[in-house]
Amino acid sequence: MVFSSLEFMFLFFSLTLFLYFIIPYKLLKLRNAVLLVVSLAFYGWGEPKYIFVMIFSILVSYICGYFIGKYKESSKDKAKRFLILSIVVNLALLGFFKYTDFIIDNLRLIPALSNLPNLNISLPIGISFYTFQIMSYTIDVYRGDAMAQKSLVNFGTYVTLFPQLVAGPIVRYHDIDTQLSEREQGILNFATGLRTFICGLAKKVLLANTAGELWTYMSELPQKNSTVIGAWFGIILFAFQIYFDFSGYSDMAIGLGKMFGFDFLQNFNYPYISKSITEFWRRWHISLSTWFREYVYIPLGGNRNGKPSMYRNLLIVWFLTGFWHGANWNYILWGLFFFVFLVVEKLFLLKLLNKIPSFFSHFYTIFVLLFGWVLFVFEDITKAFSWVMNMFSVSSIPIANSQILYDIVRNIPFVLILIIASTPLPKMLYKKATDRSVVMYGALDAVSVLVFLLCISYLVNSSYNPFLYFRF
Amino acid sequence: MIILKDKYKKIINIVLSLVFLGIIFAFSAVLVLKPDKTFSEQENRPLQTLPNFNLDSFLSGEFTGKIAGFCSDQFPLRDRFVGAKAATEILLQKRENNNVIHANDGYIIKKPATFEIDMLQYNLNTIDRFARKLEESDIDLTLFVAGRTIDVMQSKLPAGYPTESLAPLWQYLEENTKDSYKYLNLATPLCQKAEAGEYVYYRTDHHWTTLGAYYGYENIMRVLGKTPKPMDFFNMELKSDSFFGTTWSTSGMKWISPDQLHYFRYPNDTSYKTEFLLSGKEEHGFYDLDYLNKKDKYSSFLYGNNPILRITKDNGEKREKLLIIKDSFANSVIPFLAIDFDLVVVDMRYYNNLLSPVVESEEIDSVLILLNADSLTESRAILGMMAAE
Repeated sequence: MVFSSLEFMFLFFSLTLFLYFIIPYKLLKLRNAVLLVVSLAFYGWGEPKYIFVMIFSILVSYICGYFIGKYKESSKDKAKRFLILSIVVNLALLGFFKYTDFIIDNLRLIPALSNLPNLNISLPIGISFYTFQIMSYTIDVYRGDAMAQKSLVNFGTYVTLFPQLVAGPIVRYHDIDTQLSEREQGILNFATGLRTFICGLAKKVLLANTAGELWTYMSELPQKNSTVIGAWFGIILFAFQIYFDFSGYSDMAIGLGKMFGFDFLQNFNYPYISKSITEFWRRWHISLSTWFREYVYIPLGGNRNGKPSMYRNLLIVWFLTGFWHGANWNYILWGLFFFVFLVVEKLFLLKLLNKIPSFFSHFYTIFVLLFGWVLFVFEDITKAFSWVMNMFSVSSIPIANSQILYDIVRNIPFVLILIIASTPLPKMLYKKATDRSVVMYGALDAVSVLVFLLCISYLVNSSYNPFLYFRF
Repeated sequence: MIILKDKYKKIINIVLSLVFLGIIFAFSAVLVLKPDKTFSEQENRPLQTLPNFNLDSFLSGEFTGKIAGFCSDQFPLRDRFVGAKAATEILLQKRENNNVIHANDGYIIKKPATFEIDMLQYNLNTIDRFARKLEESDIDLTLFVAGRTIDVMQSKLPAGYPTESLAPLWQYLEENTKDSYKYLNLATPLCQKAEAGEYVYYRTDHHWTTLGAYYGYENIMRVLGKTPKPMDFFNMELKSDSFFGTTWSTSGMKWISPDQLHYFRYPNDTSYKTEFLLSGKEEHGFYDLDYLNKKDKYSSFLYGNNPILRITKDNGEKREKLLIIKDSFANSVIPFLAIDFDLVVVDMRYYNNLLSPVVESEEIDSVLILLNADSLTESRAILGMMAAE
């Protein structure tokens, strides 16, 4: 089930709100239990077969966490063994479900193994997110950043909480451990969370989905209809789609969490206004880069053991970051692509970028990002290559044709909206208006209700498919 | 002052939350409690009703898919929401919604799919094979291709629309129709009428109007070497001024004004026997007036789409006999052709038998294929087993 669906909002969510809020607010444990049950149902709805994989992982890690907490002071060795056990179990599950076929595909390159069949294992939803969340728990307990969670219900709630279960943000245990037993759940949180939720819903349904439809259409154009402008226009649309899709979904997760009193950390911070790739990765999918920094980069030594070690650590982290995104070579290349630019920036480019007018650094960043997205969006690297060829007119296609000009002109207002929405401008204006005037505060809330209804219009329409049997 | 502001903000927070909860709960309640609608006249398809739960269908994903369909098909005020999205897209100057172009003068026009040569080539080959078979019995075959709305009403398209993308299809037809049969492009003559300001194609439906069908008839008669009846031979009856066609349904643009639907009546036009050859049914005249009370008014022409019909005069007078292989475009032309010809009318999508026996047993003098360009490019079913042995 996705948040941006009618069945989520009008069947699942309405029921959840009802069950959660009829329980008196002091009975937090019971409220958490409702969240746990509802979250398991949410997960099971989309993935009835693999819910047990997640439950298994939860139980193993809960038990390991208990023992780590118990032996942390007295017997560091024993604690370490449980830590390793929980990490191994989680990585094994992730590796098996996500990467087995990729490994098999590559083993087949060895002549002796060329007939190895694929297992065609389907990927349980959210496994990339919840395994990382669970590992953050046992590591945090081992490091003393958090206490072992005594209540299985509370721990289960942490892992399965439906707002972030399927698509993040990746919530580190020590960021919310206290919120499990105590949190603000009043009207202010509900209303604030609601505003964030609607914002995310609008980003996903009104912006991302629409940009996505256009991108799909552009990416499927036969080569004979392709143009240079079309190649750029297409990848720009994809860049907007993936940003609004992902950040919209994160906003919905953060908003939903807030409605129940949870404070999740921001996951996106207007990444497209970055002036360098370094800055971009501080603004994009923040919870993932934070996770890798905390649990891989720093334990490996970070930048504390001299330059060669730092570069090696960065290489490992970026290889893994790319690989986390998908079981395919193009994702690995995408990660390494950023590694190269990050290193170059670290060496000298960053200083240069800070000296030149910001227009050029913005341009450089967007330019690099667009190429990154080409690498990311095409799992088949030869397709990515030919797309880039089109972008530079190497393949002797025309710069433009009347079709692409028509399509661009009629989408100008939409693209302007996409651009403005990816900057902090709307939020700044909102803050200014509402800080000054209560009337604006109320009026903009009325607007957000209308936006919510508009989102519903788009959702209803996406299944609107008249059957024109009398077409002929 | 500051405290008062906070108090107002708190009230607004409460109002926002209550309004949201109100919307969510109200829609959820109506969705679940209101009895399900089973069919949508506007979309012309059955609607998903609340599915029954069973473990197998849940595990296979079928149940969850049906629930998603249920939520959207039974959603309260569904048509209003669909209209709201269309309105938003048009206000944003996108000029299209759901692949329907919002054109000028109240015209909404279906966007054509990218032109695929294979299907067209396949269908032309089928026609060629059939034409050669008919040649053996000395029977002529003529192919008439009517334009799509976008071909004929080009002048209504929004500025900047790449009209050159429409030409390849017609060029291909011009260059690849064979000598075994005659071919006539009906888009060009009707386009000229349209540019002269005549109402030849519907604004909200993909068919030509009865006036457009008349001009098609004129062109057909000339190719067949006959004289068409002049326009004043007919009495134009307005049968409906609230015809919302297929394009209106797909577009979501609920605010577009409906079309007017006419019949071109002439003396004794009900003294024709329409025999449904597969079911044995018989009707008189060309019009099924019941359809005028439903949304799909165009289907009142020739009783919608049927596999095979024979149309002859009540008084048994025998005239030259035509076999017409068609799609729904021909339905509004048949009443004109029936004035001078006995007709056997076949829709190969629904007629699954060989055609050669029919040509023989019905003593066909001449064969017409009357299709709109979309039919030729979108499916092989349109000609089905026509050339089969």
